[in-house]
Amino acid sequence: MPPNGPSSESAPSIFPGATISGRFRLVRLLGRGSMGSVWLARHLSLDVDVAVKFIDAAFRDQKDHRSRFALEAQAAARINSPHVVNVLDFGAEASGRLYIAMEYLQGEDVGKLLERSGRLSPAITARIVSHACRGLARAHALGIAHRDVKPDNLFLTGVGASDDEGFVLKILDFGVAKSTQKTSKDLVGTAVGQLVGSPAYMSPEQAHGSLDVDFRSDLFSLAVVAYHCLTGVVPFGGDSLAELLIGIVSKDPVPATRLAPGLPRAVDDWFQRALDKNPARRFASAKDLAQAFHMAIGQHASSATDYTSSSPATVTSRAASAPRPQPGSDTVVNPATARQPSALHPDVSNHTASTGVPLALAQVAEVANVLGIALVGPDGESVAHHSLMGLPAAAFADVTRRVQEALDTFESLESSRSQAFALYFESATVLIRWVESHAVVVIGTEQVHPTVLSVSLNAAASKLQSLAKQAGGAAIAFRSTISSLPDNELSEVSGTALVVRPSPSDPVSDATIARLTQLFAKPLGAVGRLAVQQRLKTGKPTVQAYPEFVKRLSLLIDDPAERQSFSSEALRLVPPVEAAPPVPPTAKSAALTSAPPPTKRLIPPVAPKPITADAKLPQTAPAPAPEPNAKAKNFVMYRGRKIEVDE
Amino acid sequence: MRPDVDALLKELKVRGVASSSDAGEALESAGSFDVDTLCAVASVAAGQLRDIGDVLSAGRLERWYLVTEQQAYYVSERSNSRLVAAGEAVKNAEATSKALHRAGR
Repeated sequence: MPPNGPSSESAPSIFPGATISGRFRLVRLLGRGSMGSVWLARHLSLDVDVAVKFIDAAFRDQKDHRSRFALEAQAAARINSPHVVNVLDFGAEASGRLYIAMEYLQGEDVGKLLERSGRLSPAITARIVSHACRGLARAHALGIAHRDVKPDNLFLTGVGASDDEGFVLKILDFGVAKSTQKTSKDLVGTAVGQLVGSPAYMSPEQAHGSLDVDFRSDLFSLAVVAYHCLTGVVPFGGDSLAELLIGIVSKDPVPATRLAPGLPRAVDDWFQRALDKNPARRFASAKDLAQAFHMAIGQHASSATDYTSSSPATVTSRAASAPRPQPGSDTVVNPATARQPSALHPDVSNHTASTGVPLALAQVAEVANVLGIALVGPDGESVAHHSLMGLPAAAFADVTRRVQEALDTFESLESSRSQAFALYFESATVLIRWVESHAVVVIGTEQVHPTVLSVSLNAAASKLQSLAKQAGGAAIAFRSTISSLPDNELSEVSGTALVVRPSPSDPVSDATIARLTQLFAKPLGAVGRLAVQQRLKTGKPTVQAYPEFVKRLSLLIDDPAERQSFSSEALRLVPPVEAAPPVPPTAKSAALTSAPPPTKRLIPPVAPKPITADAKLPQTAPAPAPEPNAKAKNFVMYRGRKIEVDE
Repeated sequence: MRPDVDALLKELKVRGVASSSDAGEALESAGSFDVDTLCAVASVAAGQLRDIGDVLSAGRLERWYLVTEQQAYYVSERSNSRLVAAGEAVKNAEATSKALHRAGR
């Protein structure tokens, strides 16, 4: 905390040559801000240049300004990231004026770079977003929201340096930062209705003057910066502050590709999510936002070498100049299953459909005792999955999310990218390999052979990597998979499957309830979660009663489109109940029924059928009703679950 | 039986090995690495990873490992303690993970 210096006005103590607290000698004024000035100074004992920021005399006795200034110093010091300016000292000079001594940065801020260049290439923008996200992620992990992310607060060191060096971004000015941890003693109060931040880069919640501003507001502001960088203009404008704020809270921005036609169209989808008015629908973290941005522009989030091949002012995007994929030996155009038109781009239909991804997954699924495999995208959603035990796509996404959250703690040890992860439980195995920001997730029984699975998974990962390279980037290769697979689902690749069909009287699982609550919280937020909890007080619905449960919940959603979206997603979590055919007393089922958890694969491996462009790709849930003459099914008990075995 | 961390360090050819309490407090260590941080991080992560076992009805968490571009981290869960190791990123992390898990059993 700062020492309590004298508060009375004294002779000006800030001038070139002045010594501050016996530690720094001021050299020259670097600039002035709304609350104070920044000076170049020499640290007398370390003999290095530092930047010293002073709060103006007019503000120094105002408690809230002193608090903000103190918070800025404390916040920046706590964050300790290479992408946040480093605070060296904090105190008060002789007249009581507070100061913060920081590392002296040479370069220019993004605001000046934009003034100079108009707009920036996707590659530079990607580097800016990536570095800013790393700094913000660190702050957010500590419960600190910056609340004033804008080009002027993103400083690029090394601009103009040699081609090999590139630049490093550092976030400045945590002066209006806020701790989102309510118990923190350094919470800075801001009155309701008070605008904090720079208007053009404000989030809708800031524009509303809401107190409920958290890290998602920073992510919104960073997306505004990215939009400015790519298009040369801010997404929301107006002739007056009121007009600007109305735009922020109620208007959709012009698609970036309309202003910068060379951009990949996926960038518009990214902005649509990043600039969503509802914070709950935005990216869930700075890391997610950065990864998705790189995917959108066709580059990998962590491949820093992609950005350092030339100086920032002249570098051009490799992704932008990369050739678009052409129908060839590996990919074929499949108009019948082409991607559904985007809300922003109804004319988008030129994606190619690749069978390489599903086949790579299917090969891993053939390893004995594997229960399922999925490719989970950087947004946390399953892109494609192949399940032999009825594990839904959501289960893989859920496991991946939980693993990612657990591994986030490793960032305190190192910042390099995760490549492989394995988790061994008493009766299950989870393996993950990351490929181009996507996670390949395998779930097996405890009987799965770890080395065989690991080798098989590595082979699949190499195949996926190679597909991504051939297609000019993971975004294109994996989006092709989405294009070719209705409902983002893959099933029946091998022609054999074990399908879990719970009894109609079974209660739905906790995992389903958790997922349902998440879905319901999308449109209704905390109210939605409470509504689900209220209804669960009388007991969990059975599988049979689940559709009615969903229907009753959906009635609370006013917007018809959101209601429909919620209902359809929620109903997919639990397939409709079918009348179970009688269990034939076959030797196989009898043996399996009485057996402990299987020590070998329940069904013999069958070579996967190749999927061709015109192959019928099965829809996912709801499962089709059994035909009257359908052949009899076998049922086995597996860990207390009734499982139908296709013969 | 308490594992001999010095012997394990040689056997596994890693940079460091440590035993810790379930709460993440380092008990014994050998080698050169950030023992306290790794033990604490492993403890926090293990708590979250156990939840996955609940979701999958998969029972007790036994062992896990993470390989990054530069490092590999191995964790073996015991009843009230944990064995952790850190080494260079390797392709065959499985073998080291198994060896760590077998140690002292």
